[in-house]
Amino acid sequence: MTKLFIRIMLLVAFFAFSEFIFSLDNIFLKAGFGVGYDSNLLFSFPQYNTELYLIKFGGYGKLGSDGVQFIAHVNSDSEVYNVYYNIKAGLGGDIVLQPTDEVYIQGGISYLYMMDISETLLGNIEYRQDIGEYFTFKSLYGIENSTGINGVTNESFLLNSFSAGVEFDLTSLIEAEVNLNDTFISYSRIFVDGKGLNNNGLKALLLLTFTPDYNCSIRIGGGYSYYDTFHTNLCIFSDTNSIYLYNTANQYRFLASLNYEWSPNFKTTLSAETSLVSLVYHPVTEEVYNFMIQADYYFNSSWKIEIPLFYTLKNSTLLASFDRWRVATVVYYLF
Amino acid sequence: MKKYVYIATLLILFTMALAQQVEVASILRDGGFSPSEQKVIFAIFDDAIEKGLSLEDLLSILKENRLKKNSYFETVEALVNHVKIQMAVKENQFPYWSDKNIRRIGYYLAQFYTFNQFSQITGELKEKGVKKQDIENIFQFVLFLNSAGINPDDSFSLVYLLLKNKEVEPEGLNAIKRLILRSKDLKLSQKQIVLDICRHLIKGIPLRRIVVDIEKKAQME
Repeated sequence: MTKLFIRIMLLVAFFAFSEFIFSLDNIFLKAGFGVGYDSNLLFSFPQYNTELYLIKFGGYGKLGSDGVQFIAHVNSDSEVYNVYYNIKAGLGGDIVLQPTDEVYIQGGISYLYMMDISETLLGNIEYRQDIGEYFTFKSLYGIENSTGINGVTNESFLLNSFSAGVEFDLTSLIEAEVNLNDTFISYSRIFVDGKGLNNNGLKALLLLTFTPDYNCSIRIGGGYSYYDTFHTNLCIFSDTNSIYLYNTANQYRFLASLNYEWSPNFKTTLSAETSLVSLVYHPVTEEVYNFMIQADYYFNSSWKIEIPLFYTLKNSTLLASFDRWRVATVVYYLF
Repeated sequence: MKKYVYIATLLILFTMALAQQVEVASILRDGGFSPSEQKVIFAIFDDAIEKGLSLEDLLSILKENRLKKNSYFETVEALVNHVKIQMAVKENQFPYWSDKNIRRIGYYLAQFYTFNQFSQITGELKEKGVKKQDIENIFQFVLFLNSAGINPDDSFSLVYLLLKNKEVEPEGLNAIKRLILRSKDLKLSQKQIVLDICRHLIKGIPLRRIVVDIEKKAQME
């Protein structure tokens, strides 16, 4: 009963907030409907395949001038499967300050709801500064408080994340980005020997974006993460990607993407990503390969069609390897 | 003898002028214009002929407006517009004028922009030695901006700065079209995109970089 009540209240809040966005200066709304197919909905073995019906809605409103802007946003992402449905919804607000042309400061808070899975409150503050013509410094602090299920356990966690990075032009056609991040997560429901579980992840990421022409951009990158879990004897046999969050682990990531504009109306995006995880104190490794192809076609400034195709393959020493592919066609109306 | 020739010539000229006056006057009367309104139209005719414009063109505009039963203001606007366009292309010497298609473009731009704006654009076209094909591309671009609802002043600022910075290659213009077409997806208004591009072009930032930055910033938000 209380669950139903909470859901109704959330729905009311969502619509009230949407109403508020409608009243702002600059409003952008995006509504979409799509159909698709998923070969392995739960991303596990045995596979459960299903048709998909997608209903998407996003609202975004801006208020204020270039120097100070208030932004409010809502979005909902509903998926209907053969025997089940799922709703994700979020709402939030941001303040963007641009005291000079070189400085960009953004602070925001948002709430994310995933039906039957989790509820999350997020806050972030970002600072970017252009130094000279070709160099940008950025730093980000994020905090996240989430309750829900993830993989196999019920969890509540508090996450603190600090990032610092620089973007600079290597040549007029190549931009480089270096990012360092430290994420500290403390779980309040998982105890090992009477102590709470904490995980500290240190990540470094290097990205190169090559823009040879107006209609083409290529991005390649690689990263290394080290996850340090304070109690190393825990190894959760998780079938999610978060196995390393409970263990001390090394992770290597490689990614590449190609974005090509065929005309002002039509673009395609191709991307591939590999993630290799190996636990430090257990002989366990996990490899994940993601591929994505997406075509976007704009009929005019109001109608758009998106056709994404995803493929994921996972090899793990814990579980049999399995794959998943998902294709959908979503028609959007933008207003 | 010479005297008579002079007198005869003068007479012929006077009759011609009178005939024109009579023709204009008869059209004006039929058009139901008041005497004071007729005076204004006569003044426009005199001014135009003094500037060396063709009387026939003006007469046909006047007749056309009368046939359409247009009001005095619409008629004057049509005449003044015609004079403005003719003077603009004549005084500014739009490049490649012998080309029929370019002439069509010149007339369109002269009508679309104010006299000053048109002069500045023509000046840049000549100074930068813009190629015929590029002028045609710019024309298509102006048509696109117009159909997207960008007002002539903003359209002028953008086109002028693109010419000034020598950013007239079709790929660049297509990239701007892409931003404007996808403005709602980028969560920016079309006007804001145009003004953003102008703001950066003034600083001399390459167009390619501006496009990348706008797309990147839109993804960030």
